[in-house]
Amino acid sequence: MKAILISLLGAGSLLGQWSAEQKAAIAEILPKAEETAWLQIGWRTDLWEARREAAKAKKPIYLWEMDGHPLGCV
Amino acid sequence: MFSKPKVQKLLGEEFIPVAANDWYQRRRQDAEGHFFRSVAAQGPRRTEGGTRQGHYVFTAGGKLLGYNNNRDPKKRLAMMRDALKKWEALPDSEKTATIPDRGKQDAKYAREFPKGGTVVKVHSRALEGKDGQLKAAVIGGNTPLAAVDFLWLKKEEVAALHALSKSGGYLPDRLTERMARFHLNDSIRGEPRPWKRSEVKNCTLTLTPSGEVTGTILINSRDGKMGYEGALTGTISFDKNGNLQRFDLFTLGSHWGEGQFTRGARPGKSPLGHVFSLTSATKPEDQIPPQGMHWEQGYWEAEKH
Repeated sequence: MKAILISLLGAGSLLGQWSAEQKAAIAEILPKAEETAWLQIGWRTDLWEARREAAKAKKPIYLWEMDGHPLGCV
Repeated sequence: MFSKPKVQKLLGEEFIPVAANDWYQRRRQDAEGHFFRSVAAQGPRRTEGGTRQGHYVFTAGGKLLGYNNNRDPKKRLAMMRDALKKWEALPDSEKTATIPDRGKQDAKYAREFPKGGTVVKVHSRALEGKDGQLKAAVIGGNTPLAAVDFLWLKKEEVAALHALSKSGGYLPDRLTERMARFHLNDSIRGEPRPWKRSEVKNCTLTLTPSGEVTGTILINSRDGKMGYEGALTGTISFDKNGNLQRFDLFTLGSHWGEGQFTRGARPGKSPLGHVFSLTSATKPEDQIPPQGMHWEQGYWEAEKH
């Protein structure tokens, strides 16, 4: 494992031009499209403004409330 | 559940969807905090000071129509549909409300993005070595989702970086300590605690005039049971007007141990990767505060506290 890490980071970034190995590792870290599909919902983050919007649109509010912001962390 | 098109359609068409951090909402002593707690108190989450996390449906005026904190998508969907039936049965007068001015916000718990500031998105993922390559780790038969956090930079901090980029040198302690203590955490399974200052044994990051950033990081708890060791590489560059153009950093390292809210760590030292990338922060989901910003001053002045 250590050998993989040294190999990946020892290559340097070449001014942001990632090596093929680095690109592959970065691709593994970044979320896949299916992991971010839930962001298409159009979540509001301001409850007070959402109240105004809901009152105007005559719609109920759906609040997803978590310890740690639902749109951050995991 | 929220990835399913059927649920997305329902939420988008029939509701105003909101996401919020309960750590702040249940504590804030202002109109928004009082309103939220008055809604939660109509359901099972009413213990003073206790968590109020879950999924709520309510009117703009604050009448609770449904609550659920069950992970079973069928039960949550049933709650949504049941709440919609209650909504339909309401008189028109209760389907709207006059929303007053929110008044002064509780500065201790209301976070505001700094004027002219910059957001750097930070993704992290548990990794494992496979056939000589690093792959997303499979843990317990599942691949944990990538975690996301947000590194905030103030306008003057970006200006200082721009000045530094002309000569090259060490990145300011304030920035490196912020990155190390609040963003190089194991956030794969929940909310990690920020590293303490005394736990950061080394975090030296160097910026060259050509924009290349390199460095190493060593973090270790006093008892040695939790820590992180890694290396960073990447690019920070500016356009001719001094605007930040790139903040692309990549760290690979090993983490070990677990915290109160990050139980279930893999045994021993395990590979963990972080990718920092500049974002325009035009969407609400890119403007939420950094996860470790519960104590705001501690975040901004990470090198002092």
